[in-house]
Amino acid sequence: MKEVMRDLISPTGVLGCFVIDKEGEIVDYLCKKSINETLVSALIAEVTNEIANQMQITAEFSIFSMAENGNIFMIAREEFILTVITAPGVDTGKVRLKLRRGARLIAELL
Amino acid sequence: MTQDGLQSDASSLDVLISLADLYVQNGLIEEAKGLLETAIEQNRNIAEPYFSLGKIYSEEGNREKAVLLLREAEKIDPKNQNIKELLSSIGEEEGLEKAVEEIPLKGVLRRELDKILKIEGVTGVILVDEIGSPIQAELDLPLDDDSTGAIITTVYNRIDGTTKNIGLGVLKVVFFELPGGNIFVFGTVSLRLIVLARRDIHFASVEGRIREVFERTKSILEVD
Repeated sequence: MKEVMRDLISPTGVLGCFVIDKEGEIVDYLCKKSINETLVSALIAEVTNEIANQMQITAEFSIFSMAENGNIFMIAREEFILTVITAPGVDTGKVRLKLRRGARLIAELL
Repeated sequence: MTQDGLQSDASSLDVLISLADLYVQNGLIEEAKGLLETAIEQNRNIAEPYFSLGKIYSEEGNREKAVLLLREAEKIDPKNQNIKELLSSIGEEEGLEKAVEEIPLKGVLRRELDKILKIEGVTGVILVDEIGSPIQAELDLPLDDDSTGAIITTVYNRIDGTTKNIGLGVLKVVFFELPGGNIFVFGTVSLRLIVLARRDIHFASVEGRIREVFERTKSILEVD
C-alpha cells in the first residue's frame, strides 16, 4: 500500500494522502509535510458520510474540492475513502488520474 | 430592419437609446423597453439606459419599477440632475422592496443561467444564497429545485468547513462525480451556483464558461 501511496504523492504540490475507513479510522497515510492526520481523517470521514446520506448515494463517488489555499480530492468506495490533499496550482488532471488508479489498487489490496 | 437585426448590428449605446426614443415617440413602448433592457445588459456601468427605462415606467405610472431603475442610475451617476429631479417628482421612498423582485434583475439572471443550460449535457442550473435559499433555477429535470439547491448547499458548506479546519481556507469550487451524474458548484461568501450535468460531461470542458457566467452573476447581484 505504501508503494501506491508514494506514487499518489509523487506529483509536485501533493502534500499527503490518506486511506480512511468509514468510521474515520486511519488505515494508512503518507505526507510530505506535517498534517494532523487524526483531524483530517475524522473530518473527511464525517463529510463523506454526510454527503452519502444527504444525497442518498450507496455506490462509489468522487469529490474534488478547490479552496483558496489548496485542494482536497477524495474517492469514497464501499470499504474505504482515499483522500489526497494538495497545494493550490497543482496539476489536477494528473492527481485525479492517479487517485482513481490508486483507489482501484488499494481496493484490490484490501 | 427588424428589432433583432438592429440589436445585433447597432452595438453602440447611443444608437440603442436613440432608437428607443424613436419607438416611444411612435407608441412602440414594449419595443423600446426591450431595447433599453439590452442596453443595460451591455452597459451595466452607464446611467443613461437605466434613466431612459426608468422614465418610461414612470410615464406608465409604474413607480416601483421606475424608482428601482432610477436608483441604479443615481448610483452610477450621483451628480446627474435629471435623475434626481425625476426621482423627486415620482417620490422614491415607497414600494422599493416590491420592485426589487421584478425587472430587470430576474430577466437578466435567467438569461445568464440559460447560457449554462445551453451547454451540451448540462441538465440544470440553480442559484442559491449561502444558506440554500433559492434565487433562480432553470432545470431540464423533474427535480424540486428548492430542495435540490438546499441539499447541495448543505453539503458544500460542510466541505467548506472541512477545508477551513484543515487550513486550506475558503472553498471556491466543488466537483462531484456521482453515480447519477456530475455536479459542479461555484461558491463565494454569499452565493452558490450549482450546475447539474450528465456523467460524461467533464469539468475541464465546461469550467471556463460556467466561471464566466458566475462572475457576471456576482456582478449583477452586486455580491462579494
